Amino acid sequence: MQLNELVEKLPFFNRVNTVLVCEIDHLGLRAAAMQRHGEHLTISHEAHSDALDFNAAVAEVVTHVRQQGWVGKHAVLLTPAVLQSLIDLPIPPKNKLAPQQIAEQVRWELEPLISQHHSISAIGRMLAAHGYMTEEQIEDALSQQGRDPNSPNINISQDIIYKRFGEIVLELGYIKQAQLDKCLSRQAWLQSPSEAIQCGWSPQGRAYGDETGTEMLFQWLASAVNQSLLRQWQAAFTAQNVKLEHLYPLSGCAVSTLPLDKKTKKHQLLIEVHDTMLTGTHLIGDQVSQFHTLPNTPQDTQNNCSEMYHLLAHTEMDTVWLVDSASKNEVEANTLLSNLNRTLQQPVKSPAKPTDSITLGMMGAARHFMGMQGATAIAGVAVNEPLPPLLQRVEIRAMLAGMGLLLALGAAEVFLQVRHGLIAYENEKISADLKKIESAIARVQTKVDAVKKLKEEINNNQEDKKELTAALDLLSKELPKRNQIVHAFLNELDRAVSDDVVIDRIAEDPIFGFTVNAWALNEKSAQEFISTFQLAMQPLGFKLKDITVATQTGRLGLLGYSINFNATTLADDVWKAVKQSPNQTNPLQLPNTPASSAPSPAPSSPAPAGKPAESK
Amino acid sequence: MLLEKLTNREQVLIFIVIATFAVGGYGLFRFVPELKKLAELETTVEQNVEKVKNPKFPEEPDEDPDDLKEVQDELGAELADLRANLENLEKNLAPTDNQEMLLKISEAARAAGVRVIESVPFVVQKKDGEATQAIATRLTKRMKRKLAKEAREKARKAGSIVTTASSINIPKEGELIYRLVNELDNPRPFQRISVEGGFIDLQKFIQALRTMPWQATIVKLDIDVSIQTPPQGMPQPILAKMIVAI
Repeated sequence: MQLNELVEKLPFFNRVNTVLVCEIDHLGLRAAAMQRHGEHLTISHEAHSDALDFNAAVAEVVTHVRQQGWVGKHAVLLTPAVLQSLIDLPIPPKNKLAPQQIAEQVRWELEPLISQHHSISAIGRMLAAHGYMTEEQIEDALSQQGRDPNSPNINISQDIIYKRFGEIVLELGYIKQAQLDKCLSRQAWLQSPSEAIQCGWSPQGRAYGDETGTEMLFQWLASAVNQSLLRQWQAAFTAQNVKLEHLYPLSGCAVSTLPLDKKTKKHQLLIEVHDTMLTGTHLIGDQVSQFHTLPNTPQDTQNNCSEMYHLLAHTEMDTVWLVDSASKNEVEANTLLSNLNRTLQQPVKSPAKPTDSITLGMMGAARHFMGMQGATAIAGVAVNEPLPPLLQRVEIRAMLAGMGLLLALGAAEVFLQVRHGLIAYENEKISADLKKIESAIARVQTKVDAVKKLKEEINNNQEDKKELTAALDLLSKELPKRNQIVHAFLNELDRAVSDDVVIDRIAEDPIFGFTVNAWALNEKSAQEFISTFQLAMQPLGFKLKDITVATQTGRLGLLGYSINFNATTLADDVWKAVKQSPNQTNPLQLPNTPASSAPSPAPSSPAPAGKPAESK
Repeated sequence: MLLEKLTNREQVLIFIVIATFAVGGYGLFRFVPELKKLAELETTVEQNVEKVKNPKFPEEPDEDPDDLKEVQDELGAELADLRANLENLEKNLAPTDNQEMLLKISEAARAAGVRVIESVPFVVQKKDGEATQAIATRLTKRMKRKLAKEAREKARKAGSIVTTASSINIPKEGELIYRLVNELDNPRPFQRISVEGGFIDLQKFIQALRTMPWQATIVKLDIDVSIQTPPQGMPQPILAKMIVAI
């Protein structure tokens, strides 16, 4: 219980705790706003309307209860138009059938009954219930309508058999037009020519059938109402911004107000009396075992109650209840109760009415609507048709499909995020290590770069130094030495040439040195010249190469000797290499040239000069 | 409601269409690009892991940068000294923007008794392709024409060919001319001079070149007997061709 109260306070489980219960009969429309407190109901506001048009009546009672402070938005209605019956269906109480399938079965059973039920709201019964006509007058009018045109009592026309009941009783003068109009207006809310019905049901659990269980039938308490009437009432309440939730039978709802105990399996009989009908409900525990409806008139109430008792009380009843909604006053009610006590020879109890204007049926309907104890003994008709099973609803399927899609996409996204997170974590960890390593590398690299740069600068400076030193040597040493060599070469040549020697030509090659061509009168003079010049040039670093002395006729036709040699500073091996590679004229570029033997070609090459022919 | 009238088949088809668009859109615009980014990131991580496992440290030099700096400073000081010395030496070289050195040579030849047959610039190509410049002449055009005419006439008489300064010579590496052109910041100009006279006079001329106010060096010397027949009793004249670095 405490858990239920707690659940009711939760937002998603917040059930409706207040409802406007309306009830109509021939007297008008009664309404009571009921508030639920646990398993108890309290009546917070009441209203009543005698308006002929039930649209106006609904507006009047809703406005009235709202003025009193009611703020609810739900309503239920008890109307004689709703048929309630106990039917047998081959459907166990706990089944997996769709509501539509059960509804179809219930509709199949109740459709034949609903047309019979309309007789309760026949115009004659309504006129009698209002007290406008007596039973005798009704029977008389019916007998007139019953195709008896030759009756001597009244002078009726030939077409009377085609007239309606109301027209007949007007012509007979039993009622006034206003009284007929009032009843017809009310009848429009109780009958409809449409055959479509809407059903409600409540399984009762009692089963019949063979022992094999193949042909088992189960009792279902079912109710039905004409759909056009239901929409009519729904529109009337919707116009007042109130949602009509359920329609209940006028008689039969009081059963849920009785003390029903599921465990004791007590037999109880409830006889509920109304102006136009009378219902009897046989209860075993909290289940309805039998249910019966009889038409009623105020004059025959006691007899009808006795009949109902004998109809249903096949076994001994633990308790017999009488709910009298037809008696005009308490005296009349007590009279009926005492007469029944005497007639039935069994104590008949009468539960206390909450107020004079509010019936126990209204309380029972409210209990059923709010799902309170004993609600299973009533079958109300839900205004909105039962929905198919959840999984068969398109919106549910769409929602599930959307959720599935979202889940799939979410899973993909989670996969991405998780993978991204893992990689990012790894990357972060590795990046930190890498950063340390890179900083260490950068430190070393900085040192390497600095050393490299300094080395390059040093190399450049050394190159500059080398070039500057070479330039200095060139200008300060080699050029003066060159001048000295040229001067010395000419001087030594002048000293070496004797009177028998004539210099023909001196040619200087920057690499090979001086080539001297001379002529001597005799061979001895030639050899002396060569020897003297060779000795003189040795201090200057010159050697004579390729010396040739051969007989040759001189300029004046004298027979003498030609002298040819080279005065060079090249080492012997270099000289040989140069000679063997005539195309490679630069000894510095010769292969296998000893560095030490590489000459300093031009500056060190002597500049010999021949003593010209003019000397001799 | 229209939705309630949809058959199971229609509902499945609608779901397939919507799912295709939703999953396709998500995959196309979100999943695949993100997966690609993740793959790139993963590759980067793997590369980083490899770098961490096998770091490539540069070889740390043995030299101390401070020591090298000291060496560098010492070298700088030496270079400064060398440049100063070179500048002092270059003061002994003839200026290249006037004719004064050529006049001095001409005067020395006259004093030595040799006859200048030819005196033309000897243009040498540097290793970078640039040609050395001859000493700038400040003579008037008339004087230049006169000198050129005399040179041609002398050359004709001497049987030699006057070369013009426009012919460019390419020395071989290692030659003195090559070094004078390429190893000095200010390449020296060269003058090809041909003189005729006696041997003693030639010696005097060469000696005079050594005593010039500016440095003049004979970098190449060729001596031939002159083709001219001397008068009787006179020695055979000789023809000396020389290239003088000025």
